[in-house]
Amino acid sequence: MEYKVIISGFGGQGVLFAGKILARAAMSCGLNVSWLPSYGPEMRGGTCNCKVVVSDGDISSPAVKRADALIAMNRPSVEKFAAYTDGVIITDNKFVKLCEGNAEIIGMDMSLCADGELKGLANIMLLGELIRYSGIVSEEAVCGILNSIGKNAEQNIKALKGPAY
Amino acid sequence: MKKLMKGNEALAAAAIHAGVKCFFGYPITPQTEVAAYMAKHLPEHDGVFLQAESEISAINMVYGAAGAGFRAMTSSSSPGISLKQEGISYIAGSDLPCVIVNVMRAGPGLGGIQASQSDYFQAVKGGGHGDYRLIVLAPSSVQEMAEMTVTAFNYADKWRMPVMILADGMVGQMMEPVDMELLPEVEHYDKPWAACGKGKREEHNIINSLYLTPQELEDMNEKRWLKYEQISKELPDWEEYMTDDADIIVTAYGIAARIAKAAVKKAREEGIKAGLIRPKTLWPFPSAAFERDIKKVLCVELSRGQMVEDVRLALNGRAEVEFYGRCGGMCVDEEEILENLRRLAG
Repeated sequence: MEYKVIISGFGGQGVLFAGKILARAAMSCGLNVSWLPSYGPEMRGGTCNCKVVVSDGDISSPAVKRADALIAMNRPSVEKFAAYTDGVIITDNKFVKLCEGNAEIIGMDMSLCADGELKGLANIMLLGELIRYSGIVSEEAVCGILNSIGKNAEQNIKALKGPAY
Repeated sequence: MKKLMKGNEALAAAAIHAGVKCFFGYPITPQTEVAAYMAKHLPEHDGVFLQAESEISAINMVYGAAGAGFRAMTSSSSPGISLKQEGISYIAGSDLPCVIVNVMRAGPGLGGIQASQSDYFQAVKGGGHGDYRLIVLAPSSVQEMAEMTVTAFNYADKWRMPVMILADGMVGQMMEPVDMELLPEVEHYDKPWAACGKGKREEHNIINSLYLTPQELEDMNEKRWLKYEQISKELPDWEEYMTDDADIIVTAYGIAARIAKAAVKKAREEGIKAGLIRPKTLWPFPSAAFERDIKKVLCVELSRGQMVEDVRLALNGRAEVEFYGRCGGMCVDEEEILENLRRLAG
């Protein structure tokens, strides 16, 4: 089993953080992981991203050309990566109609993360949907990592469990 | 216990584990985490972190600290390593141990900040002047960033010469689980030659690379060359993957080797008998790995073709050698390598 994920969005939306949480959770489940960030100058409104590979064997390449899953947090990310995704695209409802290609598309109501308790936690909410859809790591494993970080654990876990919480 | 770390951080942590006492550096993407980690943690281990005013001062500070007998290191990325070349040549000419890290980005010139492997010539053939060599190690994972750092300090002290770790922006920036308990043992060597005060010695220890008498200089170089010959026998190291029955050998180092390995795996699924040779030491180059019945070799690099020259030298015309590479910060893709393998197999 090798599962490749691209998480992409604006700088500041927590795409690198979400990727690290996924990687650490997979590690805690005894899986091999790699986490590769984009680095350097991204234009304002661009596509800060990270690529996470989770595998029960050795990971040959941390570079992801074709992904099994894409978490796209902004429009440029959908435009840039949708065509490279085979499995599932998890994104904001409003970007669903922009998604091209063969992947299954899951749109989420991100207005929940615009204000209130889950403000700014869209990254974790989308990650929650990914792990429920893919089953690559358990929700408990991710909660364990969020708890170990401590800061805002309660809100993060709520966001992870998503709108159904 | 495994910990998720960036390659640059793992390298810095391993250097502290290996007992580095002096780090001199200057920030440059994509290796700045090395300096940042050192700034935070080296003072906790009785070490000195100093951000120099330039790469040139940093390497000359390493020269001084190494001369005084301390485990010393510097790290930079391609354009910064170019600036250090004069100092590296002096350190080599003074037979001093130190570790120099190059987390390569794309060149030439200021180039770009994405991962590249276009400093192979500079590292392996000598970017500075004069008859000298560096031991060059090429990590291809975060775990190896840590392990090879300890090895680099051991080799530097054992052989009394500078060792370079030739990494790249991708290995430096990526995170993978690292098990620090798997690091090689840290070796310790006496340094009776160190210029650290006369003490009870009869004479002062003098460290110098200036020899105005040609015969004296030739003798020094000759002595050094005998050492290099010994190293060429003892140190070559490489990894092999599915080479036993391979018709086509892919050879690559560092991050390119990881991608090449993925391509070899896929080629095997298609029935193409491919294998991988990954040099772990670039100097000495593991020529012995190519001493076998090989028909075709594909050398893959993130450059316009540099290591491929050493591959051709090692094979000495015994096999057909092709090159495939991307440069400028573009990364080779496993599909691209696979296409080459299909063509070579067909």
